[in-house]
Amino acid sequence: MNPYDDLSNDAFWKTAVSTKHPLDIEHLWTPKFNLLPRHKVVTFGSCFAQHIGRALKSRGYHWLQTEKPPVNLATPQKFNYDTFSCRTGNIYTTSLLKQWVDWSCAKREMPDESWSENDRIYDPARPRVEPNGFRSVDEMRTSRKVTVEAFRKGIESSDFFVFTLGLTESWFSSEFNYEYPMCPGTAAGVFSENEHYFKNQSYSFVRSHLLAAIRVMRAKNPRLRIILTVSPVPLTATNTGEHVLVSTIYSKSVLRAVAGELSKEFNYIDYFPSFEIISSAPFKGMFYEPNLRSVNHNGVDFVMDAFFSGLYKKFGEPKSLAKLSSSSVRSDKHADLICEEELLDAFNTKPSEG
Amino acid sequence: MAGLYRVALDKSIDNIDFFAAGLDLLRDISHIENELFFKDTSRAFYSNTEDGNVTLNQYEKIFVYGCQVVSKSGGKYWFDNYKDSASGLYSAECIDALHEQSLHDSIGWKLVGLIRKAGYSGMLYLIPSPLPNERHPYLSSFDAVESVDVLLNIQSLYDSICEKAGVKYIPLPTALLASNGYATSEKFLNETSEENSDYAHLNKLGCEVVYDSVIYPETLG
Repeated sequence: MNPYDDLSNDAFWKTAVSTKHPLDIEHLWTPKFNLLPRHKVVTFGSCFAQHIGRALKSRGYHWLQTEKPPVNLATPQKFNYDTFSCRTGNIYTTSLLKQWVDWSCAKREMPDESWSENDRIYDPARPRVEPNGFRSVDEMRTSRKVTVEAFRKGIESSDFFVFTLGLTESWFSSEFNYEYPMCPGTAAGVFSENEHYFKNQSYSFVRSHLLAAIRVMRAKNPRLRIILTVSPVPLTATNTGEHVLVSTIYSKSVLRAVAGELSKEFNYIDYFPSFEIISSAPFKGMFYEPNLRSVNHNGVDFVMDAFFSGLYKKFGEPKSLAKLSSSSVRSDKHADLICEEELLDAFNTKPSEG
Repeated sequence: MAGLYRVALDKSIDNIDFFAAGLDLLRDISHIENELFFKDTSRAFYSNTEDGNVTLNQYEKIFVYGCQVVSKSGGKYWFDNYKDSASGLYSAECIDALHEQSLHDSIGWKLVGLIRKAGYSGMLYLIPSPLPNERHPYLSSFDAVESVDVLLNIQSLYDSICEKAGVKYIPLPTALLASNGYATSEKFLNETSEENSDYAHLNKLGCEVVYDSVIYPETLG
C-alpha cells in the first residue's frame, strides 16, 4: 500500500492526459468558492483578463463594471470601456495592482505626470485609455479621478476580484517613483535613460506586492475573495537581453509560482489554471493563433468552459442562472482584445531570418 | 420623430415646409419631392458660407431638416449623457464620438444619402433638435448651468461632420433660447404634457425663427 493507490485517474498523467484527446482533458479545476450569478465580480489584469469579464457577462453572471460608457455609444471598447471593470487599462504586474490599490484605497496621490504629443495629452498610468489622448491635462486629471474612484468602488462592492497576472518585466519613473504599464516612448511619452529604469521582477517582489495589494483590498472589503490566473500570452518583447522565449518562461514561472503558493496559503485566494490549459504541451498549441502568442476563440471558450464546468461539478449549476441563447453565450467571439503590450512589436524592425 | 410636420408661413415664398418626417415616411425621394422647401428659387436668397455669400436660387431644392442627437427613450439618455459629460465623467472625444454616431444614425443623414442618390443639386441644412422645453421636468433635475457649454458645444462637431458631406449646418438660433440660455423658450415649442412627452418640437412661431435664420442670417453681409 502507498499513497498513490487511492488516487483518482486525474492524478496520473497516463489516464488524465496522454491517453486522452486534448479536448477531453477535464477536471482541471476544483474551485474553492462557489461563484453564483448574484455575486459581483470585478476583473482586472493583463490582456487575457478581458476575456473573463465578457465570458461572465455572456453567461448570465454579474460582471461588475464601475465605470460605464455613455449610453448608446456603439464603440465603447475604443475608449476602453467594457474591457475591465473600470478604465485602468492593462494592469500587467502585481506592483501595478498595488499601485492602483494604493491610489484608490490608501489615498496615495497619483503622480501628476502627463505626456504631451501632437497637442494631445496622454496619461502615463493609462497611455492608451483614450484613443487619441486627452484634450487637456485637466481632462486627464478628471478622468483619472473618475477611474480611481471606480476602482475603489469595485473593490468595496464586489464579491470576487479576478486578477490575471501578466508580466514581470516593468518600467519605473525614478523622478515620480511609480510604475508605468508601458515603457515610456512606446505607447506614448519619451524615453529617458536618466528618468526611467527597468526591473525584471523577482519571485519575492511579485509575491510581496500581490500580498500587500490583497491585504489592503480585504481591509476595505473583508468578504472579498480573490481568484488569480496567469496569462498564457507570451511576451511580445523582452528587455532582459535573453531570448524572448526564455524570458517568457521565466516570467510565467514566477507568476505561476506566486499565484499557486498564495492560493494554498490563504483560504480566500484561489487559482484558476487558464495558463496551463492554453500553454501546456498536451494542448499542442492549438489554442494559439498562428503567431503563437494570441489566444484564439477556441482557447478562450475552452478555458471558460473549464471554469464553469469546474464550478458546476463541485457546487451544481445554479438555478438562478438565466438561460441564454447559444449566440449570446458566444457573443464575445469576435471581440477584439486590447493589448497594449503588443505595441512593442512595432519596434521590431529586424526582418525574420531564414 | 414621427409624423409629418408642416408649417405654412405667411412669407413671400410659398410652400415652405420644414421637413420632419419619421423614417417610416422617408422611404424614397418621392416623398421629398412633394415637400419642397423652396419651390420658388428664382428669388435670390443669400446664405453666408466660409467663401462668402451664396445664392440659394442656384439649387434645385433646399431642405431644412431638424436633426435629433440622441432621441431614444424620449430623450432621457440625451439628458443623461450631457449631464454626465458636463461632470467630466467622459472625455470630450468620447462625447464627440457619441454625437458623431448619433448624427450618422439620424434620419437626417439618411436624407443626405437619398438626396444625393436622386441627383439633386441641393443644399441641405441641418439644424439641431431644439433644446428641451425650459419647463421640462427632467431639465430641472440636474445642475444644468454646468452643462450649457456641453449642450451648445455640439455645433463645432456638426460643422466639421456636415462640411465633409457638403451639408450646411445651422446652429440653433439663439433667438429660440429661453432666458436661462440652455433651454428653448416655451413660447416656441409645442405644448408639452406628460401625456404627449413632446419636449422639443417647434411650433409655428419657432419655425419662423428658424426660417429667418436661414434666409436672413445674422451675419448677412
